[in-house]
Amino acid sequence: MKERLVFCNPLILSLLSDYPHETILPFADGVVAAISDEAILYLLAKNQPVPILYFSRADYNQAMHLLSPDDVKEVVSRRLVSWSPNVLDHALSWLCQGEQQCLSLAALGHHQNQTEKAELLTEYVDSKLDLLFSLLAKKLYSHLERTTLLLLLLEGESELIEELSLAESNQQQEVALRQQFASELAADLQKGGYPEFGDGLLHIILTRGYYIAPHDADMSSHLKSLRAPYVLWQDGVVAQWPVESIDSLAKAGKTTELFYFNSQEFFEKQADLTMPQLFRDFAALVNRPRPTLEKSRADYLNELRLSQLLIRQMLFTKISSPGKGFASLIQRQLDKEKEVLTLNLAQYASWLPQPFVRHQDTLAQLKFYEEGTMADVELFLALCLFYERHVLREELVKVQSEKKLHQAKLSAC
Amino acid sequence: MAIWPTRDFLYHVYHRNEFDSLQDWQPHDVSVTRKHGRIITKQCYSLSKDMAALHRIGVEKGIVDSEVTSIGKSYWGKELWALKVGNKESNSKVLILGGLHAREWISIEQAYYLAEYLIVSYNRDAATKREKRIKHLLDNRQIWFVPLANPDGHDYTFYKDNMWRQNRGLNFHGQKRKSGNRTHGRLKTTRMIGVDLNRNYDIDFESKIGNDGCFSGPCAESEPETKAIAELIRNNTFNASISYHSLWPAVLRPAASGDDPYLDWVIKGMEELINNAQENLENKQMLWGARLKEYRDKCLKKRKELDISNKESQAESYKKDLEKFRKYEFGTDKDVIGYSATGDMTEYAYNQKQGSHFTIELRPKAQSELYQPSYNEEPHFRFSLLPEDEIKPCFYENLPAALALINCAGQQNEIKTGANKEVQIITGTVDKPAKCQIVRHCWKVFLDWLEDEL
Repeated sequence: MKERLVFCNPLILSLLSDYPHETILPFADGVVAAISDEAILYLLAKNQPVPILYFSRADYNQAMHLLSPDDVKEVVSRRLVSWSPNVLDHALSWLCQGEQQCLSLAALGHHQNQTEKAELLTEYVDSKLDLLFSLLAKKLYSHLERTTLLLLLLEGESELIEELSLAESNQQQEVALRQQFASELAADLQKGGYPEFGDGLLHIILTRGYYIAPHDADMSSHLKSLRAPYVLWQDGVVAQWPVESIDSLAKAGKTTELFYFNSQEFFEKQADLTMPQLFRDFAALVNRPRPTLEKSRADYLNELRLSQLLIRQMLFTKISSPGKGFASLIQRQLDKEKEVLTLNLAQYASWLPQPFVRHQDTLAQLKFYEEGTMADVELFLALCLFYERHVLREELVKVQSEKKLHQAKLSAC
Repeated sequence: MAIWPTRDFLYHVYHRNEFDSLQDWQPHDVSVTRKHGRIITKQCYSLSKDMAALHRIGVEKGIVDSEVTSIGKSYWGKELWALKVGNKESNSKVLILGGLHAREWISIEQAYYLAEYLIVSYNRDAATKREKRIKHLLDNRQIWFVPLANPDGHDYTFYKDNMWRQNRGLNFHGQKRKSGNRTHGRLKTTRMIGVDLNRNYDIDFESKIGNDGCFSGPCAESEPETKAIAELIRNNTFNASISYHSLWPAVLRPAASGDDPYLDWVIKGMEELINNAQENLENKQMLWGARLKEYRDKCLKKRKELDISNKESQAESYKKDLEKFRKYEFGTDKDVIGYSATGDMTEYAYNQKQGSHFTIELRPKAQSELYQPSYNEEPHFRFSLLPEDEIKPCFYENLPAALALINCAGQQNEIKTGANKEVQIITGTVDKPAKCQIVRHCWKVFLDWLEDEL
């Protein structure tokens, strides 16, 4: 049974007497408690919605790890004010995270099972990608025209090639594949009246979140002039910086350490976390062993690959005559993209909670995750009904029925 | 004649309609994503639909040109919609522009909301002093609103990267390839997507990639968005303009206006009006929105618990903290951010016609750490997009200054024509000290604007 971390005031606590709940922390006039979905539904039926703080205990534990009691209260207070009131705005993101974990596990299972189960798992992987397509791509890209999608793909290939060229492991084969993808896409853009894209790859300025030390007034005023967020930490500063300008920092006597491959992750954290949380995270990012760093890079690369796959899928749906010419070219690219993605997911067990323990029975693990994500959908459906989020509810109803099919597929494995 | 699109997926996130006449508007659930990652569902409104409704209301009231105006198209063919409000015969022209930088969503909302405020508040049979003043402004000024100057980039911040700043045009930056700068035997290409539209105007233009990784373009006005707005400026020679931006509160005057005493007075007026508006909002406990008010109260309580003996200094420290995020800085960009931006729109507008041209950077979301004693002295610079409940305070704190600027735009003509009695009483001449008197008058009448508004 799934547990959610919620804030219970005395009234809610009194209503929960028949439901098991674990008090985690006294807070204000109530408590932070772990309660079941069943209890949340009961409270909704009593017209007493309970503020949800975290969708899982693991998330709560991670958020509060190593914080002092005062700092924990500060996080709860902040979460109550800025996150809980918009809890449904975060529902899709949470679902996508769960679905991506299922996808990763399925890829792992497929890699381990070369028997008849492999075929069923292939089908399962396809259905997960379809669901992610509905949850992400349809919402983000469905209004884009073919040309814009082609451009997005071309940009994505250019970025991935840059990223792969910086990776330690040998990625020549994938680079060659993506160069081919890029030239095929560019050729179509050229044919479609955009000759300026005909030469293929684009120049991408990669940026990352770095720790740069020592910090001085010049650095602060430089960052301030860029209107970029930065956080002072120890004797340096954590900020976004272009990869190609890192050498110039070294020449200026600065040392740098890579903290975030995706600089957006830094943006998000500096906006969402409290200072003690940020400082704790920074401390954990110092002197990461090479394999850990490469694992982070691999996870990020897989995010890029998934994004490319979904945009490609959207492009495919926009092509008017499937099976012919350009459609078959995109289909070929899609097949290849899926192969590369699943291979890399299996190799790195991407997006799964760390440390990830590889079980002998990946299928059993997968079934457990699948049940968990279904419970999430059911909870969100109830919340949508209560808060009258009808559009989101309609989407979740479709997700629920698709997930029932996924469960059936897994049961057959 | 262009027609308003019924559905174009250009949304503004923050706006919540508050006027009875506009209540038929419905929000959409829109997904916003950060680059390759988390998506957030936001309830948004269609900007085009909202502008179409404003256009309809304005035409009915006779204060909006009946012709729907597009001033040009973006790189990928999206219309750059404008609302021409007020007296179309007036030579006292003002430009209000938002969304030049894609990620600065609040700037779009500010420009749009100002248009909505003026159009909806306008009453032909004005009875109260306030109504008369709005009527005076719209009957005697021609105000161009371009709330979204970078539609391609703005759209991109929704579907791909919510921190994107530039447009989406392809360009060659012309930078020589560095020797040895190779990846897998391939020379780095110099073709890239995105130009910083506020570095692309034909004023001190430099083709370069800035420290922020943003390209200023291969040549001035290389981008269709820049060209369209530059043409609008050239064709109209605006007396005043505001280009709204965001992420650090500042009112920036053109660098070229350094020895212009007229703008010295105007910027002082802006400072007085914004500070005064903030105080008004703070007194009514509205400055930071409901979310932060509640939070602030809790934190103050916590501070008291932490150090009961030191109440006074805690209160002082709290005030200082708040000011960090609310306090606007005033001056040229060199004064405020330490360097002069090249190819800047406001600089370009001032160069075309000296007048009251400003870049106004609206504030970011305040961070809760400001309320924690232990982090008071840390000069971190953290930000995120302004949350919805801070939009209205942000709009109101800038409203009197915007109204005063629109008022100022007409003063020289009014002196000549004698159309405005109040101005004639104070001055009657057009030499510089007299002008300053007028400016002082122009903003003074808006000092108490929020008293009845809130």
